[in-house]
Amino acid sequence: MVLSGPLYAQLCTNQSRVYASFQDSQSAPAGLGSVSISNNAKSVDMDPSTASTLSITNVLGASSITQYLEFSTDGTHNGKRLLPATTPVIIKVSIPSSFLAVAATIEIGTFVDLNTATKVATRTSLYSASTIGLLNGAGAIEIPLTPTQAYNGVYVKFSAPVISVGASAEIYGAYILESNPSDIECDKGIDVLTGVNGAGLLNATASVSNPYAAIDADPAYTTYATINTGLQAANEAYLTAIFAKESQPLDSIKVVYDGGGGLSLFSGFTIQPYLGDAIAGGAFNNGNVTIKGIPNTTKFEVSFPVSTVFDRVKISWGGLLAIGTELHIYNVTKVIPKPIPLIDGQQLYNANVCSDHATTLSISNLQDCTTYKWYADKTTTTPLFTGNTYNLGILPVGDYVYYVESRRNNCISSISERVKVTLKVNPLPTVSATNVISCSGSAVNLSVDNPLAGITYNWYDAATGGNLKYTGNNYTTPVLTANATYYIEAVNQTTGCVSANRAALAIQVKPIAVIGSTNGINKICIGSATTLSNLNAGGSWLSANPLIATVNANTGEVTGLAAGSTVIRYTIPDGPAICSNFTDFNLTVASPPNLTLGPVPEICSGFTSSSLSYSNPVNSPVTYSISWGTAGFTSINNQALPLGNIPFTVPFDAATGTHSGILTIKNADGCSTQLNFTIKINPKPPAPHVLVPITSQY
Amino acid sequence: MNSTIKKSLFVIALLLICNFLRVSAQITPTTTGVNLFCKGSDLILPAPPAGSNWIVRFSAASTTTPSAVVTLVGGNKIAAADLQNGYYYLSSKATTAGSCESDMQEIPVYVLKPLVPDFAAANFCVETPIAQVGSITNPEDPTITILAYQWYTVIGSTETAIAGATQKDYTPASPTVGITKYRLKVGYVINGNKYCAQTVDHDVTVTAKPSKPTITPAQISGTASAVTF
Repeated sequence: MVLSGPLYAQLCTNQSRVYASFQDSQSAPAGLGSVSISNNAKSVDMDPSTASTLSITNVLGASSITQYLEFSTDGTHNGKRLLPATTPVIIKVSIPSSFLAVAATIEIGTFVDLNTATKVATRTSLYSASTIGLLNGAGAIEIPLTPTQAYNGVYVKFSAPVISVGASAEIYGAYILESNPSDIECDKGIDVLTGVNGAGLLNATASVSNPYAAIDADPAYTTYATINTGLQAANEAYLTAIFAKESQPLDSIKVVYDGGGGLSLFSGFTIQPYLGDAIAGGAFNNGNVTIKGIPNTTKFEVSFPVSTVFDRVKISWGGLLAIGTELHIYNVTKVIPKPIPLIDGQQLYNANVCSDHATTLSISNLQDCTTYKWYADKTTTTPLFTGNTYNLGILPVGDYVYYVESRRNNCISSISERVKVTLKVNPLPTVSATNVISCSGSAVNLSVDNPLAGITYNWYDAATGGNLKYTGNNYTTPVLTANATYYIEAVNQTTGCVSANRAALAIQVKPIAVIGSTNGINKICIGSATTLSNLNAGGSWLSANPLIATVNANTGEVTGLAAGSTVIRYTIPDGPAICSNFTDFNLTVASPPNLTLGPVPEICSGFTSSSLSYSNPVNSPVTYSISWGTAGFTSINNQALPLGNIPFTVPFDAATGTHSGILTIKNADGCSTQLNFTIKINPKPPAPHVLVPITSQY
Repeated sequence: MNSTIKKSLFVIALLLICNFLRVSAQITPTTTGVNLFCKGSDLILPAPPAGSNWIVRFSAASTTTPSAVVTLVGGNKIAAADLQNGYYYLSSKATTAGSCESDMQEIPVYVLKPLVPDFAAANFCVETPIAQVGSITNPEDPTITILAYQWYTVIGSTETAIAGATQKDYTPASPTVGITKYRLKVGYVINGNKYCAQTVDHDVTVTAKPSKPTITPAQISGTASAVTF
């Protein structure tokens, strides 16, 4: 049983016990009774396991005996200290069951101004006789007190009723906690409290023997404390190991025990950590406990982490199933947990990292008041680094091993096992790409130079960050109209390593050459020529079908060869800053019209009109023109072509004989054909001169 | 409104002028060079030159471009039924291919309608001759108003002009008792020539004096062949 107090505030600085080192006592026998105190000095010997004994035997009077435990700088009364008010003080006492049987009382308080001659001091009682009943059990207990006035020490006044025999109590000592700049054994038990809880304490048979063996740090586990449950199912015996320093959250408790071949967690065996008298974390259970057998023994080691701060652990043993059995506690220690490493924030013991990556080792289960040291191997004493976070920086490609241990500050042996951390630094993949030149308005196929199997290539639109556009060796861009740059990173599919930089692939997007429409006549006739033009110089001409029309590559002069249509393409070639462009011009080559002239027309002199008869018109002639080789004849220009006969006029006075002309016929396509023809002007005989015979006259 | 009336009047006047000109261009018996034919006579041309054909065209008025081709009978005759007042244009054209039609000869033609003469036979006593009064229906009147008259006595088929009997009426000067056939011949006088004579015969009985012969009139018929009085 422990009581709470303010002594257990978590401090990295060690708080060590400073015991009262001077004692005195005052006896007050009454009637035929007697009082005595033995082993006085053991209550101030700084050994918590030894005690003075206060005894009372009353016959006809109520006797008492008081022992003063005074804090002294040198163990003498003259070296007494005056401790300020509110300085917590703990006094450890033991109340045997016989004490309880006689209903003895105990009074505890502080004092000042002890007169060692008269044994009189100014006392302030903090506990009265009735307080004993609150102890609820027999055995060694610590009673924490927080005086409200300055004091030199504490006193224990032991009283017994009028009729009692053999009442005694043991005073182990009193101490305060004071800062200790020296390192201490933090995990080791420095004291043990034992006792019996439960009903029937007056005749309890449960016991704890050899309790200090549980904290003797015997590495061979040859000594042990024994918890015997006795024959009272209602009782349980307990052993509380008090550690030299309170824990950090997540420290573990380790108990080495045996119980005759096994331990049932549900058979009255409990391990409960405390901070002072307050429960700290849960008792061990199946979920968090680790139980393993110690090879070649019947011993077990049970350990479990405690999430909160504790400074002691209470091992209780009792209940129906424990009747008549013993539990051997070989060792009870507090254990600093092994550090759980983080590699770049991931809880890992080994990892693959990339050579450009600044690797950081850190601790997942960080604890306060704990120093973490990183070593090159498991045994060397010189750490590579001390601290929670070990920035390794960018390591060359290779394999690396580190060890990390946790070490509780200001503690001598509170050092964890070293935990191995393995790193494999992998090389970074490389990536390169060749810049390309493209033309505006086209998608561009991009490729990684010499892609490797096992490497994934990611295409981005920015050197850093940006948007992932594609994953693969080859990327086809959207249609581009301006220069663009894509950035490629390589990712090793096995190691996950990413190339140090994204390879830039610049695309020079040249504008398409400006080219206007081709100008010119889009329909020519077979045998005719025309010249096409384009305002944008620098191009060349090409006929898609030279059998229909040819074109001079330089001048654009096209010549119709056969009826049909063809495309005349004007192309401006690629240049350093422009892309080729072309424009097509649809050219139709039309057939010229024709017809078959009839016989040479003959007219008589003096006639002024005639015509050319024709037949078999082809290619739809629509107009005609006539020019004459004889002066004075009137030319005809582009007159509608009549059906069957082409009229013309001749001069009234045209000379007789043959006259030649050229008939030009055209069709709607503008094609024309010239036909030579002649006309013949025959002489006209003179008028006859006949005398009409007249019969009317008589 | 006034403008419309003016325009209408102008058009009417123009039509009248044109009609006058047209009428004035019509051929008349006195047109220069006109060939006068008696109604019912054919116009017979000389035979065309060898290897040629006549081509005859007609126009009511004188023109250089007659268009109506007249069909010749027998290659040189315009049948009387087809002959009409106007201008006939004669050209020739050789039958060889490409031959040209000759220039045209204009032949003005006027067809005189036949006169219808008559007289009532007036019998008389030889001592008191009575005038035989002629009556003439002149279809060419008023174009032709001058007519030529000649009285005949006809014996058998022989007529004998009565000298001096060249008026419309004739009173026998030395009648002969008996029946005498008198004949009245009437023709058109154009430019001093006589054309298209028509005759009428009637018997006139002269009585009382037996010495007087009776003349039986006979009608002259046939084509207008020249007659000598």
